[in-house]
Amino acid sequence: METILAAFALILDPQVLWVILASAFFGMFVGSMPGLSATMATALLVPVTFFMGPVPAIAAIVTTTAMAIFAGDIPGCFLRIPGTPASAAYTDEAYMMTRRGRGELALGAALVFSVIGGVFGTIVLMSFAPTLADFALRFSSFEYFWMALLGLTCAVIISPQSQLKGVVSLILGLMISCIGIGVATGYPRFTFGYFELTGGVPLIPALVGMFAVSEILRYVVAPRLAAPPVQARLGNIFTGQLGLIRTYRKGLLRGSVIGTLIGAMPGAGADIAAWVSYATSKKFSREPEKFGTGHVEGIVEAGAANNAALGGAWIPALVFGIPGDSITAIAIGVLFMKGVNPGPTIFMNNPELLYAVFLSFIFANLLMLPVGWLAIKSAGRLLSVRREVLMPIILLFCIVGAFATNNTVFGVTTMLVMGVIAYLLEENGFPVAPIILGLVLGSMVEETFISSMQKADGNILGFFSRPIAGTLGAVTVLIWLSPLLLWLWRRRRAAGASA
Amino acid sequence: MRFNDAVFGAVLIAFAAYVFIAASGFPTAAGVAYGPGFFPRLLACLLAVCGLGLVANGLRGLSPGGWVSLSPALREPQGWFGIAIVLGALLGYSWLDDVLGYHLTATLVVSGFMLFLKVRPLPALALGLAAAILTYLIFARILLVPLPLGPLTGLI
Repeated sequence: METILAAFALILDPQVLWVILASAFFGMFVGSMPGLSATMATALLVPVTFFMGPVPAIAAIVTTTAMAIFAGDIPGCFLRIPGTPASAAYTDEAYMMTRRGRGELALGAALVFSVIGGVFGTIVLMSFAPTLADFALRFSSFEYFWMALLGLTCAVIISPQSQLKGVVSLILGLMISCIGIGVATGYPRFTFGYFELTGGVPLIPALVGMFAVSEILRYVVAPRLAAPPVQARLGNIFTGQLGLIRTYRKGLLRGSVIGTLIGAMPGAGADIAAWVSYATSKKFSREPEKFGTGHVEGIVEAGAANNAALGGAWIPALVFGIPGDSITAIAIGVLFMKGVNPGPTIFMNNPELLYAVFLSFIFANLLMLPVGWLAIKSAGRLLSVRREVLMPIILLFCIVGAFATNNTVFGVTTMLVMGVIAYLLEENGFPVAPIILGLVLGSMVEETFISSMQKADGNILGFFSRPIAGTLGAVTVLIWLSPLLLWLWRRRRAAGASA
Repeated sequence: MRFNDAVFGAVLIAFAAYVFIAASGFPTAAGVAYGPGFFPRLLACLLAVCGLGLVANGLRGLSPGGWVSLSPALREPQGWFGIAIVLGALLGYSWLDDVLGYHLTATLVVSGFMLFLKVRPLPALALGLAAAILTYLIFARILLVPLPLGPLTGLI
C-alpha cells in the first residue's frame, strides 16, 4: 500500500503531469500523420526524456505511444491511409464506414475500445508482472542467456518478408552492440580511433537515425501526393458506444486478451496484434459476410487489441529486461541510461518506480478519451498539415536531439550513418526492429553467454543442466530447427503420398 | 535502391571477414578462455553463413533486371537531389554550427529543405526561422543544451 501511495506521489508531481499532457498531444499529432509511426514518435521523444528523471521519462514514452496507436485510426477513417502500421488491419473497414455516413461510430469505437483495451493490458501487466518477477529471481546467467536468445529468435521469426534477412538484421544489431568497451571484457573494440565510440554507439542518435532519418529519406524519394481534403462532418462520437460494448463484449474481451498476449511475445507488437485480432473477429463473428463493407465489429476487436498490446509488451521488458517490441526496446535503453536496470530486481529495489509506470499507463489511457475527442474534432485541420513543411522541421528536431545527448556533432554523424544504413536495409527487405533489439540486448547476450561458458567450462551441455534453462534452451533450439523439421515432415508426407 | 540478394550477401560476407580478422587481433588476457574477440568472431561466422544463404537465394532468382534496381523516384535526378539535400543538411550542420551558430544553421537547414520541397520562399524562410527559435527555446533554455551561438554570442 505504501508503495502505491509513493507511486501516486511520483506521478502526481506537477512536472510529471505536464510531461504526460504534453506527450499526449505530441503522440496524438505524430500518430495521426500518415507515415509517422508510434516508434518514430518515441524515437523523437527520447532526446527530451534524456533530461528527465526515470518516472517522467517512462510516463512520456507510455503516453505518447498509447496516443499514437489510437491516433493512427484517424487518417484511416478519413483518408483511407493508416496513421501508423498498427491501424492498417482495419483501415479499409473504417473508411467504408465513413463513406457510408457512419464515421462517428467508427472513430468513437476506435477511441473507446482503444481505451478499454489499453486499460485491460495494463491490468494484466500489473497482476502478472510481480509474480513472474518472483519466478525470475531464481534465474542465473544460463536462464538469462536463453531468455534473451528466445526473445531475439521470436523477433526474427515474425519478420514479415524473409527470416534470413531478419537474422542478418539481428546479427548486425548485435555487432553494433560490440562497439566500445565491452562490460565483460574491458577492451575497446571497433572504435576506429574515435574517443566517442569507447562508450559504445550512442543509443539516442542511433535510434533517431534508424526510425526518423530513414523515414525522411524514404519521404524525399517517394512520389509526393497531395492529401485529399477531409470533408466528412461528424456527429457525437460517443453515441451508441455503450450499445457496442454490450453487443460485442465477447469480441472486446477476445481482442484484449489476444492483444496482450501478442504484445507480451518478444518481437511482436501492436500491428501484428491488430491483424490477428481482426482475423479472429471475422472468424468468430455471427456476420462474417459484413466484414469489409463498413462493419464495426472488427474495429472493436482489433482496436482494443493494438492498445492492449502496448501494456503486454512491457511484461517481458520489466520482468526480464527483454523488450517485447521496438518501442519497449527504446524504453529499456532509456532506463539503462537512467541507471535503472529492468529485470526482477527492479521489483524489490524500485517498486514505487514500477507502480508509477503502471499508474502512468492508466492515466494515459484515461486521458486518451478527452485528447482523442479533441483530435477527432480537429481532424480536418490536423490532416491538412503539409508534409513538405513538417518533414524539414522533424529533420531539425532529429539534429538537435542527436546533438543534445552529449553536446557534440558526433551524435549528428552517428544519426546520419545509422539513418542511411536503416534506409538501405529496409529498401532491400531487411527489417529494422531486430537491429534495435540486438543493439539493446547485445551486451546482455554477450555477458551471460561468456559467464555461462566459463561456468560450464566450455561445455555446451552445461547450458541445459538447470531445469528452467534446459526448458528454455530446448524451446529455443526447437524453434530454430522448426523450418528443417517442417521440411523433412513435408518430404516424408509427399513420399508417402506418391508411394 | 534495391540490390540483388547476391550483392548484399557478398557485401555481408566481406564485412564478416573484416570483423573476424579485426576481432582476431584483440588481446586475450592470460587465463581467460573467452576474450573480447570471441563474441564478435562468433557473430562474424554466423553473418557469413547468412551471407552465403543470401548469395544462393540471389543467384537462384536472379531477375533479368540485373544486380541493382532503382525505385522510380531514383531514376530521375529529383530523387537523388532529395537524398543529397537530407544528407547535405546533416553534414552541413555538423560543419557549420560552430561557425554560423545554431540559429542561422538551423534556419538554413529547414528553409533550404522546404525550398527543395517547393514551399514558397517567404513562408519557407519564416517557418525555418520560427522552427530554429522554437527548438532553441526548448533545448537551450529549458533543457540547457549548450547550442552554439556563433556570431550571435553576447547578443542573446
